[in-house]
Amino acid sequence: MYSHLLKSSKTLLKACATGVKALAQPAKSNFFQSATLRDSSMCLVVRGFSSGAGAGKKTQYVEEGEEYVEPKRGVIENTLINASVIIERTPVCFPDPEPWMEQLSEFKHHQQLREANPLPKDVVAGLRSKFRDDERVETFVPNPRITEDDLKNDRKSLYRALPEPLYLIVKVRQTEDKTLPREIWRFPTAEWREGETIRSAAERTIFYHAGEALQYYMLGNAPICHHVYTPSAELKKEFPNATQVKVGYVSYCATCFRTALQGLRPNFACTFLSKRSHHACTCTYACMFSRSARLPI
Amino acid sequence: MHALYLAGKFDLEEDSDVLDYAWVRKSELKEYFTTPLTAPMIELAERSLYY
Repeated sequence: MYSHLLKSSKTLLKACATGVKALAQPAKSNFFQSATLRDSSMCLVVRGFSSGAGAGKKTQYVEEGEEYVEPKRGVIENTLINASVIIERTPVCFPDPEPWMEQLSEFKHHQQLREANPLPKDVVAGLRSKFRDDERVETFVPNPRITEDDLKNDRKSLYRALPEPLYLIVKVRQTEDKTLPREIWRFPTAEWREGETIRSAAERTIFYHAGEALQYYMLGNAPICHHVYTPSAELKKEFPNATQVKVGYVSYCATCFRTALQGLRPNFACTFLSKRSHHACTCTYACMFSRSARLPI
Repeated sequence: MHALYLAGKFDLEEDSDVLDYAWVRKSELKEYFTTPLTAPMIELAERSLYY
C-alpha cells in the first residue's frame, strides 16, 4: 500500500536533508524555539524526549549525497506491523461546564461569602467605583467560542471546536485490499520497516504527511493501542508467511502556541487554558502506554 | 501533503497519495471510518483517547 511512500520519502530525504537531521535528533526540547514563530497565526510546539524505550535506537536517515537504501518491510513472528499516528490538537479553551458544575461553583461561592470576613463598607464602595469606572471592564467583549469555521463546518481548519481536541485524519489511496474502497480515510499510517522502532516509523509517517513544518509533542514511545486484522490476498502473495497485520497507534500532541494565539486573538486570553494539560495528559498517557504496549518498540 | 502548515491547513501535492485531510472531533470519526479496515479505529479511539 505504501510502496510509493519510500519512493517519495527518498526524494524528500535527499531534498530535505537538513530537516531530516532535525527529525532524527528529537532529544532536545525546543519548546522555547517556537517563540520565533510568533508571526504565524497558529504555531505548534516541538518537544522530544530522550528517555524511554526508543531512546537508545537512533533513526537512521541518509546524509546529503549518500545513496538511500530502502529497508525491507519488517515481519515479526508472521505479523506485519504498521505504525499509525494520532496527531491531536489539544483544546484551546475550557469546555462548557456541566449544569452540576455550575451549581457546585455557585454553592461554593455563596459558602465563601457566608464564611468570609466582610470588608469595610468604604473599601467595598471604593472597589465598586474603581471597577465601574474601568473602561477595559466595561468594553471587554470576549470572542465567541463558536468560530466562523465552526459555522462553516470547515474541517480543514484548526480554528474550530475550541473546547475539544481535534485529530488529524487523511484520505489515501489503498491498493492493499481490493475488496475495500480504493480511497479510504484513516489516521496517517506507514509500514514498519526493519531496523526501525515504532516511534521512528511513526515519525517517518508524520514527516511524509506533513513535512518538517508540522511540529509536535510526543506523548510516548509505545503505542497507546493497536488492532489486528487478517492480511488481504494481495498482501499474502507478497508475504506468504504473514498471518496477521498489526497496527499500532502512537499518539502525538500538536499543541497551539499560546503567545501566538494571544497575539492573534487577544480577547481569547481569558479563555485560554494556560499550558493546558498536555503535561497532565502526558503523564496519564505515559502510564497507559507502559501498560497497554503490545508491540516491539 | 507536505511542507506548508499554517493554522492546520496543508498544501496537498498533485502527485501525492494523500487525497484529502481533515481535523475532526472524536465524535466525528465514525463519519469517516466506515470500511471494515477502519471501523475498529472508532472503538479504539473511544477507549484510548480521553477527554
